[in-house]
Amino acid sequence: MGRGKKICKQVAVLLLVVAIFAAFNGAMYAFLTGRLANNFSDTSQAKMVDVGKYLPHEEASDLAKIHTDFSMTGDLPVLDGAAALVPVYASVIHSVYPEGSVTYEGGHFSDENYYGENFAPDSKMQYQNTVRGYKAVVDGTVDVLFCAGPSQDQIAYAEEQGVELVYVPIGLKAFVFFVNGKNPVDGLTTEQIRQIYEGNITNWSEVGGPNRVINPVSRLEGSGSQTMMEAFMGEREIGAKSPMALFGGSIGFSFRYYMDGIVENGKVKMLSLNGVYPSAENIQNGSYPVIAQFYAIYRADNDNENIPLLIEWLLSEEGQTLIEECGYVGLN
Amino acid sequence: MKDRNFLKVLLIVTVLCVILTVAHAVYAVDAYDRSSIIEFIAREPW
Repeated sequence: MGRGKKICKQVAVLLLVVAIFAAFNGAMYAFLTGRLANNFSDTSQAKMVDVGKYLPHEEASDLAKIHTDFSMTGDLPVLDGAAALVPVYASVIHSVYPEGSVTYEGGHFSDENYYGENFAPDSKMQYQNTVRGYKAVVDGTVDVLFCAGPSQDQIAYAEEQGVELVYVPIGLKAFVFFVNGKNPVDGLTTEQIRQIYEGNITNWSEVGGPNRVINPVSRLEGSGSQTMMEAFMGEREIGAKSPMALFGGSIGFSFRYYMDGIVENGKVKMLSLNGVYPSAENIQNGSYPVIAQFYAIYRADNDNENIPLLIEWLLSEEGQTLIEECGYVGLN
Repeated sequence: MKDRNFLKVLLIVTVLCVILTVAHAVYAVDAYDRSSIIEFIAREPW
């Protein structure tokens, strides 16, 4: 073979090898890597709750305010909570705490600081979200945590630390399932969703959709959503999924308020459950089937005298009205 | 180039491609756990 032809053939082989790996990585990027947005990336910061929009006593803040004779003085409890409940506890502070009790510092998300340096250490409003917030209320750095129910690990951590937590239900929120906006499936039954997450239903064609693998996506262990999902599954285990599911059509879950009110993303859509869409009306009238309590949580041995006063107010007509004005459903 | 040298070059290129692919996969698996679920589903190809 002529030398030139031999070299051409060798270069072609090298290029073919590179092309095969490039194609494989390109497919991985298209189906996986390119869809990942870390919680602290610039893209996702805009999609996470922006506490800067919920600062108490700021005119531009998007908070509910109740005119009440009740006000907090003295040793003000430090409030913290889940992302979806920031508007609630920020509105509580806005309504009953004195001005100057919250110091917001903004901050930058980074590998070492997932939530940014939002508030000064002595601020009566903090935002650490569910996982860190539970630890903080057990450790005593937060007085009252606004959150969904605890995970088994969070219960175990409190027990290990010898801490008894008090869980006071203060409102209701809807747990929703969502898919990509282009997925033709608009609704599922609760049994179908359980079977999907168990791994018994694996293709959208089994539930009236296209012939495409279902990718049931789960959340971070210990997060409010994941804990709620485990409660939704009951005794049934969330099954392992095939690696090929990553290339399928995904289904995920969250709390409705976080989906609709805080994360405005028209590229996903919420599913009807048992024929009922999670509209505000259907949540209020109780027809939407998956509704959970959220709580004000504090240490039983916390002797701050303002805590029982705050809890009593939250359960009062005024407090429940404030919770409903934040977009949730009161206990009644 | 001589066959022996070509095979060395081919091996080096292949190993580099494998290393980069594995690094890509490791990053993807790690980032998946910390990713926004809503963004992940919103960007899904349909």
